[in-house]
Amino acid sequence: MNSQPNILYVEDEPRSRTVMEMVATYLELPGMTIFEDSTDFLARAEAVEPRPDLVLLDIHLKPHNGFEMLSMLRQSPRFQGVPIVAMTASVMNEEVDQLRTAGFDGCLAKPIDMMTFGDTLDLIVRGENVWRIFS
Amino acid sequence: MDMNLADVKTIESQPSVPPGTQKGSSPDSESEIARLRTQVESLEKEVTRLKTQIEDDAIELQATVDEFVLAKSEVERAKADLERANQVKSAFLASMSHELRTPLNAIINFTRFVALGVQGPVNEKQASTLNEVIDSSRHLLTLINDVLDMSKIESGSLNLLFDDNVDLKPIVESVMSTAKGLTGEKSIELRAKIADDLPAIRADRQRVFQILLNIMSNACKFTEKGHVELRANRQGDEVVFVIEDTGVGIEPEDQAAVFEAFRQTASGLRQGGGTGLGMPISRSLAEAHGGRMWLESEPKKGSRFYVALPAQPPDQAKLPVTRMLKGGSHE
Repeated sequence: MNSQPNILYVEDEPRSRTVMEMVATYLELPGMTIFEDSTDFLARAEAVEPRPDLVLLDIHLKPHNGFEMLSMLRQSPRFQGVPIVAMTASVMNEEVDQLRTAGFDGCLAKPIDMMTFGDTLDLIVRGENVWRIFS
Repeated sequence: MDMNLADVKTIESQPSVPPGTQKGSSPDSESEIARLRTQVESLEKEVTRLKTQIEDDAIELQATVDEFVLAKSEVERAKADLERANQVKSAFLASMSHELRTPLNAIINFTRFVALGVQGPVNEKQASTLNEVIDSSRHLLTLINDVLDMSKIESGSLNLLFDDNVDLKPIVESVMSTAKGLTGEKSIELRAKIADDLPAIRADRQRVFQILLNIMSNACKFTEKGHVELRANRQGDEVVFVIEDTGVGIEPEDQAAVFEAFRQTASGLRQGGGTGLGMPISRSLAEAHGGRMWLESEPKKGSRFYVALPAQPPDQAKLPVTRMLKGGSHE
């Protein structure tokens, strides 16, 4: 991978967080911020330094789900132009339709693929919509 | 009723009693009156009988109407139950997908992390064992996806995510690179021949990838030596993919079963390692694109699987309707 983006990841499931920490270690990502829940989400997201190049959101979590977090970020001037991608294990057809309709810039289905994850991040940071549903 | 009897009398009397021949109390007219009286009496009896019959029929008809109304409400209740059951099933499948994929994310990536040697040196034997864990987990993921896809297809709720101008070449390349990992120790030559004039089509990228990978992995599974070749050409209004193998082939009597869900062929079951859902799913996905899928095969020589997808944007009206999106999300 070339881009080495700063990432904000919101995930309430401990093992999925560990997976992302491993990915960050393996890919030697410089900045990986992980939130364990979505309490005070917008205020905390806006305080992350440096500004994330990419936001990965789990969908089913509390108090705000992924859709709610997406709309908060979309209204924040700081996150204009930052790709916001769903990272979820819920990828049955209508769930993916919901993600598209809500305006996510892409979706990475769990399980993710550590070996191709860097290339996928490159694509997203370059502004491509990546819908990786079957991995 | 009186009116009717008078009518009958008039009609009956007209032909037998011409005008001007009537006499006050002749024996003829007396017998005529007696005859008519008998006739009237028998008609009155008939009317009474018919009236009773009509009343009986009316009661019977009412009973039938009552039954019909009851049956109608039962059908409506059954329909509502079915719709509810379908919603429960959809929610269950969605949650199954989520619950099964979440632990697989940990299994596959934790194993990969160790195998990559990031947490310390791993010898060749250990790395190979760990890679077996990864392969098995990926296989399990495919099976889960197949079962969930099939239940979507069976309930008629398979939706595609269409994009315009989908370039097929990168999809074929990606299928070929994934298929390389499927041949294992076998000496099979994998090759692709893509026509230069292949048009971009309106399609669901992931699903086209899934169709081709399903067929390629099937071909690799049933081929011990020789080649597996993927060709893509434009033929008239269609883009036709051909996947040709030099494998075991399929007996003529087994060929239809290949596309039937839950009916693996005898040799398919012997080879094992699958749900037998890959080909039925692929055909459904091709049809959902407005396309077709079929096969030609000769036992012991090999098989050719064909997928034809329309080169022009498919008519939206003919495709499965995307279901209304439900608000919110499930936990």
